This record gives sequence, structure tokens and C-alpha cells, in this order.
Amino acid sequence: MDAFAWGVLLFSTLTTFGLYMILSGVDNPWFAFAEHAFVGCAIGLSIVVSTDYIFRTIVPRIMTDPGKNWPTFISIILGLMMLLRVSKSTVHIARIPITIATGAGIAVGSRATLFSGIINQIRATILPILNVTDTWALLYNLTVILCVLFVFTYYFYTTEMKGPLRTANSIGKYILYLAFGVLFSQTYMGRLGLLLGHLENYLTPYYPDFFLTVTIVLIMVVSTYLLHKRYPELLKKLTPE
Amino acid sequence: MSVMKVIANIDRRIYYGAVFVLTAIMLLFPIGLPLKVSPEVKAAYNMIDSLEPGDIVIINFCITASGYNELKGACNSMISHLFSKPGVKVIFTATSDQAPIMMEEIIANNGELMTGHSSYPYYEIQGKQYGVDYINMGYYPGLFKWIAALSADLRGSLGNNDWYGIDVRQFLDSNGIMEARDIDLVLSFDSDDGAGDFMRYFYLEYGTPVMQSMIGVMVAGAKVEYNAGNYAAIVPSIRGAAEYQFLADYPGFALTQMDAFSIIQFFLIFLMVLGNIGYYGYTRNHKEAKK
Amino acid sequence: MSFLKRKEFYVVILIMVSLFIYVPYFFQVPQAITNIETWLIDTAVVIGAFAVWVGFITSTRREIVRIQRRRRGWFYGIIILGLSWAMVIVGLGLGKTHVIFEFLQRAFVLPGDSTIYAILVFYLTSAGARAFRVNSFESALLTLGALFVLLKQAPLGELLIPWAVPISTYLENYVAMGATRVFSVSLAVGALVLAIRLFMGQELALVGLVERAVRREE
Repeated sequence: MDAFAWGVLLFSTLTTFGLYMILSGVDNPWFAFAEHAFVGCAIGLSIVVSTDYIFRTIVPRIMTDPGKNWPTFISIILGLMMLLRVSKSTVHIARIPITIATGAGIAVGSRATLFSGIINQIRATILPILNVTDTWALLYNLTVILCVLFVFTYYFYTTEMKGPLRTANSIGKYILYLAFGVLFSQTYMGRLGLLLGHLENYLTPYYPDFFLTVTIVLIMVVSTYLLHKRYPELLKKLTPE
Repeated sequence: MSVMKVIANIDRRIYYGAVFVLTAIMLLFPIGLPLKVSPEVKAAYNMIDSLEPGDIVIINFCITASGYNELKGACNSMISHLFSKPGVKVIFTATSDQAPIMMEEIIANNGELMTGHSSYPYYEIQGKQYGVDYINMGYYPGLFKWIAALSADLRGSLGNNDWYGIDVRQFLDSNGIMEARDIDLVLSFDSDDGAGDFMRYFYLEYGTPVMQSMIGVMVAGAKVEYNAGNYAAIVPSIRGAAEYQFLADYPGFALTQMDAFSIIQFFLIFLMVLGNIGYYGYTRNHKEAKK
Repeated sequence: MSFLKRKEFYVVILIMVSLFIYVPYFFQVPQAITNIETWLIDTAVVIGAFAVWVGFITSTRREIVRIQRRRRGWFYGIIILGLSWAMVIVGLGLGKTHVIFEFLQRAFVLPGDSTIYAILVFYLTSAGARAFRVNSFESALLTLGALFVLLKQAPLGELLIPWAVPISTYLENYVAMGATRVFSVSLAVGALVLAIRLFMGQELALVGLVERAVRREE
């Protein structure tokens, strides 16, 4: 392994297990270091890739054909006006690009949602229940239709719940409880998969990954324990507010 | 001190330590359990298997590092499978700022450096050469706004230069990639809703099929869209990734992690039972006695 | 320039932008209108790319104040400032493929982002022991739903308890899918309502112009 690989392994292990130290329940400097290092680098990364997009895609577009692409120049000016938001005296100028971006973003986001989020979903819920010969298909279709209807009634807030509506409301609530149990399991599956993939990087191969991981974890746990028990004032000084 | 009281008051740090130790043991000493393949993953496999020469595919990475460790099994096996299809041309894009480095890792995992080159992007994947069969356009900010712009003006939104500043107009022109309707398939690896946006601006407008491999939190929503016919296929989270690797005969991370996955899930079930034993054996009686 | 502080000016911009984006989507329009639509979407992307600089400048200012006032843990502000500026200078000056930029990404960003979400597994596991208490019909349903799907997801569960698989598939693909469909539709309706309210000038807080500030000007 070269110096780059060693450096990456060392600092990534420090960052990872520094963040895991939050699980000890004690505020500690390892967590503070890892947290601040991650936040600082993440901010820098966002800046670099966003600015790179401007220089890689937008500026060449203007340079290749300024006559045809002059509106892109106005886009750049509006983008630069956005930077005036940092000063209180010029914040009103920054509202113009914010308004354009917000309006465009919400319009773009909502126009297609009408089809994908409402029409297609309603169409997919209108399933055949008469003249269906396959018993299982009938059960599945009925399940989907009834689940959607009952859960919808659970979200009626402007009508008094009485009679059949109240029964449907209760059934909707029970369906939601079942669904939340399912969602919890799916979420757990996802996060567990992430943990496994993540830890595999630090546990295999035995050398140097596993060896370095065990060493660093021992140092962090012992030092945090000692600071917490023997030097609580120093621990308080070393952790942020 | 009664056993029930101990069970009801176990320090949560013991749970954390147990999860960590179990994970480490199962990752270091896997067993090798059999796996069943679900219909959704089979459909995804068939979708990629049915690609023909001349088809243009966009592979979009909308994942952050948190999603990457969950989906890298799917990324490696699906991309390897796709690149094995002769004559298929690929455009890599990213709608997450952390994704470009992961794309490079996936490409390096599945390819070898081309002759005469010593670094990115010149990797050859299953005989497919960079700049001839595939390009890496890198990250574009704006997520759904950029995807909408891509749908309206493909060449303008992609630009002429790839992530490394190399001019790719010849690749785009020679493969007839002029507008959004020329794309034949979109495959999106998501920890945000990249596939959803491609579905709204590519599938709904041009009928381009969209496939998604997503993190666990998004599985429920993805199944809704798949059931409504908005997605052509889905590969849900690490379980779907393992099933895909099994189908594609690709020995990878997701398959080897299934043992640890099983044990930790059973540990959670054990804790749920233990929690109830502690509750009924001590906590409930203790609360009633207090009243 | 007092019109820049009037609510009506921004409402007009919102209406114009929205019309230029909605109309070409639903109707056949001249190419010039479609070009304006494309330009507006591109402009929104460009503005977003510049907006991250606002966050960067604000965070730099905040950390400098924290260091100057020597608040507890002020030295961590040096870490944030140092690393963020190092990434920006190296990334923009030397290139995003430079070894130092790649090092900082691999050493801090990628492991940090992974760990923050991976920590949830530990919290979810302890939640499993504490929150899934079967003391009512509702909590029994919650626990049953979770149990069946956990059994199906794990290959060991499929092997040991095969009858749980079809029940779990039914719960996932039909029951939970039906409930989640309601969430999807509700979200879509909410997005449309927000768009209409923005169109009518009722949600100006989104553009940084709240009623309180306008009243002060009047």
C-alpha cells in the first residue's frame, strides 16, 4: 500500500469510528473532530462540483456561440445576483433570482406530478373485481382497492366521523399500523445493508484494515473513558457547545 | 435483582455492542445461505438482458456515500451485466455531488486500464472502450430541474465536455444521441428520487423505460410506482442486490453480506421478544404497583 | 428601486415563470415559448449552483465569529474553515481529480456520510427492544407487520420459516403498497396546492418576502 492509501485508511477509520463514538452516550472530542471534519469537507465538495458545472457546461455554451446562446449570459448574471444575499443591504436584489428559481422549481416539480402522482396512481387502483376467475388475483385486487379507500378515510379531517365512515376510519388506522411495521422492516433492511457494506471496508482484509480498526477503536474507547471518569473538566473543554 | 428487572433495564449500549460484534463475526466468517429471487429482480434482470445493439442507456447515480455502501452490490452486478450486452452504448451521469468518485470506483472495479493510459477515465469494461462505447458526464446540480432540462434539451444540458473536460461530441453524434427520445433505457441508482424524476420527464413524455435500484427507505414508494406501471423494474436495496448478483452469477459484496444480514435481523426479532418479556415480566407490573 | 420591495413585483415574476413552464407542457406552443421554458429551467439550475456559495460564505462568517469569541470548542471552527477552504482551493485551483482533493473526499466525506446513516441501525435495534411492545391491538399489528417482513427479508428466515414468505409478500406488495399509495397521492396533491398558493402570492415566505417585512415598508 502506498502513502495515499495508508493516509485514506487511517483518516477514514478515524472519521468513521469517531462518529460511532456518539453511541457511547458521552460527548467526546473524537466525535467532535470527525463531525467538524466531515461538515467542512462536505461544504467544500458542494462548492467545487457546483462551480465546476458552471465552468464545464455553461461557460463553454456561451463561448462556442455567443450570438445564439446570449440568454445563458443572463442566467449567469442572475446566478451572480444570488450572491448578494450575503449582505443585508443587497438582499432585496437577491430575491429576483430566488423567485425565478423557486417558481421554476415548483412549477417543474408539480406539472409532471399531476400525472405520475395522481392520475397514474388512481388508474392503478381501479382494478377489476367482477368476472375475475383467479381467486388470488381477486384477493390482491380487493386488498389494494380497500386499503387505499380505508387509508384515505383516515385522513379526512373536516368531516365528523360517524357510522360507516367511523368504521372505515378505524380499519384505515389498523392498515396504517400494519404498513408502518412493514416500512420499519424495510428501513431496517436498508440501513443494515449500509452498515454491513460500510463495516466490511474496515474489517477486511485482516491486515491492515482489521488491525487498524481494532487499534483505533481501543484508543478512542479507553481515552474517552479516562477523560469521562478522571478528567471531566478537560473533557468539557475539548467538546463543543 | 430479579431476572425480569435485568431484562427490562438492559443498557442500550449493550445492544449497540452486540450488533457491532455480531456484524464483525458474520462478515469475517460467512456461512453461505441459499437465496430466493423475487419477481421484481427477475424482471430487472430480463430488462437488461433484452438490450440490443445500438441501444442507448443512461446510468444515473443519485446516491450519496450512505447509499453507496448499500447499493454497490447492485451497481457492480447490474453495470457488469449491462456492459456484457454487445453494441449497447452508455452515458454515465450523476445527480449527487458525492457520486462521481463512486462512479469511478465502480468503473475501476469492473474494468481495466486501456492500453497507453494510466488513469481515469480510460477504462475498458468487457471490451467496451471509453469514448467509443461509453462516456462519464459526471455531476450536474439541480436534480429534478436538471433532469427536466435534459428532457427538454438533451445536448444543451449534457454539454460538450465530459467530467474530465474531454470533448464527447463525436461520441454523441456518431451514436445519434440528439434528443431525449433517443435514449432507450434509464437505470438509476438512488438514495434520492433520481429515477422518479427520470420517470416524470422521460417515461411520461417519451415512453423511455426507467429502472431503479434504491435504498431501503425508498422501497415502499418504489413498489407503488412499479405497481402503477411507472417503473419498468426495480431492484430493492441490499436484498435485491444480492438476488441480482445471484441471477447474474456475479460473486460480490451483497451476496457475502446476506449471512450477516440474516443474523442481525434475527437478533432484532430476538430483542423484540426480549423487550416484551421484560415489559410483561417487570415494567408493566412495576407501573401498576406504583399507581 | 422601491418596486424591489413590493410583494406584487415578485408575484408577477412567479406568475410569468409558472405560465411559461406550465403552458408548453400541456399545449402546443410556438418554438419561442418552448425556448423560454428551457431557458427558465436552465436558469433555475444555474442559480442553484451559485446558491451553494451563499451557504459557504455564511458558514465561513459564522465560524470566524465563533473563533474570535473563543466560544467553547472554538478550535473545531478552525477544522471546518481549514478543510472547507482547502477543498475549494484545491478543487478549483488544481482540479477536482487532484490527489489532495480525492484524498479529502475519501478520508472525510465518504466515510462521514456513510457513518451518519449507518448509526441509525444501532438506534433502530434498541428501538426494536423498547418500542415494539404488544400491549394493544394496534401495537400487535405494528409488531406483526414488522416481524413477517423481517423474516422474509433474511435468507435464514426464508429457510427456517417458509410459510412467512407469502404472508410477508402479501403485506409488502398489497397492504403496505396500498397505504403508501395514499401517501404518494397526498404528497402530489400537496405539491399542487403549494404551486397554486405560490402562483396566487400566498407563500411568499418561500422567496424570502414575508408579510411582516412588507407591512413595515408600507
